[in-house]
Amino acid sequence: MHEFAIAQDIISSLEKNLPEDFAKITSIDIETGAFSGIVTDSLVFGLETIFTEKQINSVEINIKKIEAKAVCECGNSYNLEDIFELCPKCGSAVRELNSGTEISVKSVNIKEDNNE
Amino acid sequence: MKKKLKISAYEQNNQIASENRQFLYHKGIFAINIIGSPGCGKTSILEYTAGNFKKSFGVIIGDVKTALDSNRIMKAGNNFSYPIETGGGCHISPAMLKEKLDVINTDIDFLFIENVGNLVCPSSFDLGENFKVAVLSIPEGDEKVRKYPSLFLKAEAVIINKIDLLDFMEYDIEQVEKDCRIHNPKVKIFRTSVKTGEGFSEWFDFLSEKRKHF
Repeated sequence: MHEFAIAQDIISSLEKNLPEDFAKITSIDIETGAFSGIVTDSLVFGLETIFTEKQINSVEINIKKIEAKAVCECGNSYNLEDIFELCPKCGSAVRELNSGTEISVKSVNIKEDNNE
Repeated sequence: MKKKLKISAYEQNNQIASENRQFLYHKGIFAINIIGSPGCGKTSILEYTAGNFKKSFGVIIGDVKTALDSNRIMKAGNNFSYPIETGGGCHISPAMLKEKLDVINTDIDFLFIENVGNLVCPSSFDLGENFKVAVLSIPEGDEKVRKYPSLFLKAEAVIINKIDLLDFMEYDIEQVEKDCRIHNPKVKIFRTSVKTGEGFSEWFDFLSEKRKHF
């Protein structure tokens, strides 16, 4: 259950990066790599709990899982969802994983002042 | 209004981890983050290390509660041993480590950070260490690598401990090593036993060699 720690980190990064707009966030788009090792529902629960605690209600949380990217020893680049997927070209497991463990906030929607 | 961002979920943690890393680097301390299940022998490995590794080192040990493990290291002859009680937390955070680093004023070459016994959560957090080592043990069964992939993607080294029990248990060590290499083709694997001392000279040599290049 380390998702709560990650949720706290996301919230404090948003507060830091969007000091003016943080309280006006209406939705948040997050991407998680196939091997990020987090439970999506737990992350959503953590984020909702912290937003609500900060009296920012009804924030829509969208989490998109993305495939990992690898470059095989044969030079072939390919995407994978499961760690035991081998290179589709040569069948090797020797590869460099270039992505797949990251979790990042891609965008947020901010309530416009004139709509308030 | 949509605002595009590029914020890592680990931004705050990574910031503190990077401060820890700089602090350790300036003190000349090479740090290893030890991750494994409860009971796999992390503390026993450190006890053995206290008696046999001819380098100066410190130990920080995370558990949910108690200083039992750090006391074991002191009994084994190393006084530079500090506990972190997470009070329920499933991993050591970089901020928890930072608090302990503030008390470091001794000249040590290595710092072993024994994480909370858990194969899941500790693997997600950079603490500022030089590398992560995963500890497995024979009685745990040979499917741990497949069951808990995130740790084995990040561990630069894997220790398969309690190797003295290999003859008594059904454990396909070749398969385990193969699974480790699927997660990380460059992983270094050590087979150790604190009962017989097997594998430790290789592990100590590896640590000394790594420290030369940091």
